[in-house]
Amino acid sequence: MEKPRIGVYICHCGINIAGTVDIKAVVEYASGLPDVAVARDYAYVCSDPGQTMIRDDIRSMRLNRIVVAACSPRMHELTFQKTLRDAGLNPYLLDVANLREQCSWPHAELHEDATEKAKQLVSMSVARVALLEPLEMRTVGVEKACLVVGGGIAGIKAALELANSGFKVYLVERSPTIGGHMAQLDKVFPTLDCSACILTPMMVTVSHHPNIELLAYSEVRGVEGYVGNFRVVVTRKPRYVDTARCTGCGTCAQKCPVRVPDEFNLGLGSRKAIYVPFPQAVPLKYTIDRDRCLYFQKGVCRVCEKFCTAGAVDLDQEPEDLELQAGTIIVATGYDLYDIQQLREYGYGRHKNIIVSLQMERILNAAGPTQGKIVRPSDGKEPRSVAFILCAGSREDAGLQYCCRVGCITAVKQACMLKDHLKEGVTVYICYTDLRTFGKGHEEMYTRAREAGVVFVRGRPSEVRALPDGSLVFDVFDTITQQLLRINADMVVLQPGLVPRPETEALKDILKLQTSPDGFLLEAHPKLRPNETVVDGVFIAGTVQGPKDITDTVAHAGAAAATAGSLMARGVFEVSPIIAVVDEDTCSGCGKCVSVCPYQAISLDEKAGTAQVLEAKCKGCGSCSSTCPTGAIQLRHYRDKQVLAMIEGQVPASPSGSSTDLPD
Amino acid sequence: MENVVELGRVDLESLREIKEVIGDQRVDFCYQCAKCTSGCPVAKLLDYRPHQIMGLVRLGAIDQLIHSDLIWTCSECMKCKERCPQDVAPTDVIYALRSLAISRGVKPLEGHLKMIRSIQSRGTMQPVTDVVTRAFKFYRRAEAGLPPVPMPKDLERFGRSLLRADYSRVLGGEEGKP
Amino acid sequence: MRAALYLGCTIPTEQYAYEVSVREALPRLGVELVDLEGANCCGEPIRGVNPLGWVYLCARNLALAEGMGLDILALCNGCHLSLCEVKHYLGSRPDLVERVNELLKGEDLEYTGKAGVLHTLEVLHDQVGVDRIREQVTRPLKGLRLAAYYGCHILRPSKLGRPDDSENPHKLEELIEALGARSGDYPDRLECCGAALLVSSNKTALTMTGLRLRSIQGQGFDGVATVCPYCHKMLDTKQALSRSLLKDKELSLPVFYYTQLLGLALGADRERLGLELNLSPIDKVLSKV
Repeated sequence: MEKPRIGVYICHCGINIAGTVDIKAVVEYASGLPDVAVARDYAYVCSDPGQTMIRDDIRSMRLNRIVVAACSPRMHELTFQKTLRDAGLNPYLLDVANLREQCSWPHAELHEDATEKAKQLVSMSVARVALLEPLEMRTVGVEKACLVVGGGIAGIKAALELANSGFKVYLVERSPTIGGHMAQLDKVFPTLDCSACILTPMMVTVSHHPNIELLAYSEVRGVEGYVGNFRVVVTRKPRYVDTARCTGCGTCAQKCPVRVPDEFNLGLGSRKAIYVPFPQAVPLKYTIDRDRCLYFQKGVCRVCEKFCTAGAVDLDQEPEDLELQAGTIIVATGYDLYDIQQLREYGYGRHKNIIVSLQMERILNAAGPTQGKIVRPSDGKEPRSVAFILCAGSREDAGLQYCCRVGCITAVKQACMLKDHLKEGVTVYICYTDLRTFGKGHEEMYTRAREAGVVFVRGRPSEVRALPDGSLVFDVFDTITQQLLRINADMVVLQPGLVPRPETEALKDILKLQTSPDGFLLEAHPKLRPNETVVDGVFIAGTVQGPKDITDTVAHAGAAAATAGSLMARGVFEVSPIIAVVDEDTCSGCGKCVSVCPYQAISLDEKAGTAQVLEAKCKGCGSCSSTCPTGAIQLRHYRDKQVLAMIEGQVPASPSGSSTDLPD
Repeated sequence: MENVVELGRVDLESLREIKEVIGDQRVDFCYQCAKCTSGCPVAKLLDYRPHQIMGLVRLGAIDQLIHSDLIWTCSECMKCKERCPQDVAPTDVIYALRSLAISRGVKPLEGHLKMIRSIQSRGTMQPVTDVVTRAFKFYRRAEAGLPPVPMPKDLERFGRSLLRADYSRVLGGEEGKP
Repeated sequence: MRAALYLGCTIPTEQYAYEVSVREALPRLGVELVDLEGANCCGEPIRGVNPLGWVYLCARNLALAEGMGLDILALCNGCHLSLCEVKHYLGSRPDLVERVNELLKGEDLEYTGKAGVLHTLEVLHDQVGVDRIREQVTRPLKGLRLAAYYGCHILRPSKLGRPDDSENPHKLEELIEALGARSGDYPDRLECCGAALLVSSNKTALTMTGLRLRSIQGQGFDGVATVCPYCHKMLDTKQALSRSLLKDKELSLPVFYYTQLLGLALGADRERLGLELNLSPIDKVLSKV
């Protein structure tokens, strides 16, 4: 290895560093360190002139190592790596000393101590950089296929965008049909478009799109591999109906003797044991609910099989596993409503006329359990007063701590619909804490609600009581009129918050994703990278990342598709070279590194008897290196000798020798 | 002349004292949803609004509160503490206001003073009262075969410890001397 | 089981019927009662006025029980809550424990938090059990429909852990049913009797009492069972006052301590349950039993 010729550049960062650290003293100190050819300072080293200075020095002084003592490497390491590259130097022959976040900022008042610490930090960097090796980025190929998990509006949007861009999409949906919760809604704010009318054309496009393979009633069981090269196992659950033969005629359901409350109508309606969730289901294929079917439970009936003219009923059907290759994965598994039964004082579950927002949607919906007639679940009579209670269980320590974003506008919309249908015949109350109608067109809807005579009460009821005669009553203090109101309601509609679907947990474990404290999947950066995750190649879209309305979900899903698409369009993915490497001669095959690796990036090669690193999965965390008893596995760019040199370098430089004399 | 609450500097000192009283009070977190008032049994009968009291405490308008009757109107049913979404514990804030009022020289209600003196002299907050049966006969513990009223064995020592447990602050004056 | 019987203040000076019926009924169910010697007021009525005094008063009772090696059985809801709360606070405030022990030293007492706190409701329902009670009933209260009045302090605040559930309590109804009677729901089941306001707003207190009675009577109950001397004081002893304050001549409801009903059903001598002390029209019920 040629002798190091180190250039040290101390940044003032305006007064951020220079205001506390005596820059000149550090420059002088740095000049005296071993192998340092030049030490300079500048106001903003990251600026154009600053970088030019470094580039010029590299060429004129034949520098082969650079230390930049400035702000955190998280800010500008990439910037300076590019500077080195432009000057013809390998970008990994750079060390950044953090004189700002780790020195001048925390010790802002202690000028002398901060200056001494700055000297030590520079000395450590100099010691390390002398031992750094040139490294090259590796690339892996990226399969131009995307696995989209979840067939709600987010998954549908992402799938269509990618399919239209020419990529192959596998859309996997857990339930018998795609559409998600949006299919349950009546009219969506702010335009009051019929939800099914705008959704079903997209669903049909998905089913016919040449680039989309729709795998409904299927679940992702396992994912192996890494970015660009995922191997996914999907289980196709048995419908006990041959989808190739089923025409969706519905005769089977007509004849089926078993009637059960249906999930689509949240218990307000019913379906048969053989069913489609709703008439516009995609794919329009029937499914047998094993747990309710008399044949599977008691070995009798088989009426559907008898009457099916297409011979599509196949009671011996087995689950089928498929293996797919995908370059990217988008998780769009959506939300569920918070279990509002936990907020016991509101009585959900104890009285039929206390319902939740989604149930009101089904009642309002012309294709719903009451054919769009607004009636009370208890007796089918029209309600004369309906009270909405917002923030039920949200913004609460004992429930959900966050705002659901959709509760206010959903209630305002539903209130408008109730007034449209029942006019003067119904009094609608909305009991709110803070009214958040923040989106485009939302304020207009709030105005419309007020014009229609909806009564807005600013207060939160403590409890809802069901009186012995079946009526509902609650007291609420209206902070605006300063009156304690006693509201007699025929129906009470609660607005529960949104939570991620329970299936998200299993998927999170399979993909090694992280969640934020509220349980939703964690984005890489809340502002700038809302769709990426900690796992390269895996993206998130829609409410699985956090509560949002359809407008924001579609935007979010589109962005996920763009980011995934961008990766697939490039066709290659650069893998950082800062990964673990194994010296096969020193490796004893003990396997300790395999067990500590959080990314399952190391395996034991049976034949060679040594550890093997799967480069694309290695994240360079260094756990293996610190565990290895022989030092056989080392983290490139942070080898033991490089790190130890930093520790040695903390001691003021000795006048003798160059740091390349340190043992390997 | 004008009916306004003068605000300038928030009374941080009083706010700090409120927070230091033993209890679960977290008045900073109140976002005025009024769930407490909506369920409060006293609010249905009187012009008593726990959420308003929380709001006033946060504004630091504590002086007017501790001199009012409002803080003695809580029936201590704990419904507000049970249901508050932000764990403000309005009951505990009210207790703290009561304690602060006494510290600032507000005289305890006569009924409370009686209880306090009784505890000190007898161990119980009231003496044996005259009890009559449905048939208008007097009923006495001893005659009914019940053991004597429990009380501290050494009332003097008990009373002295009690004075040091802040009783002196409450009683004040000659009574408050150990 | 054995426990240190803690009467508080209202019971030994005024609400004798609770004590009498407890001493009569509980030993029949295997509960051995040992009087908490030298006990003092729990401080609940003056806790706002003097928080430190309140902590000290409760800690003293707990220290006394500790000295006896027993848990405290508190009959009064307010005492039970006070003792539980102070135990909870002392559990996380070593500085308070030090202060309290410094005061207790003057009487050769020490608090280390060993004594537990029980209430009549949980002893009867959880420790003795409805099955055992049912087995020992010799005079079932057949044909009677009795409302369960819990009061507030044994239900809330639930975070502390209370003897029954704060939104759907059921133990007192089950105990009533174990005696052969029926129970049921009524709108004000979780509401406050108003006792704490006797000192500051007498009228409001009695109004609250009257509303509770009305709510129960409105559902056609034959009577009410209470488990707290303050609740009983309001619903029974002051029933006549609340009737006249509400100007409601129809307000008339028999009110018993649950333990009086328990004694009756277990076949105890009527003279030994303090039944002469109830001021509400309980003869209406007694004639049916």
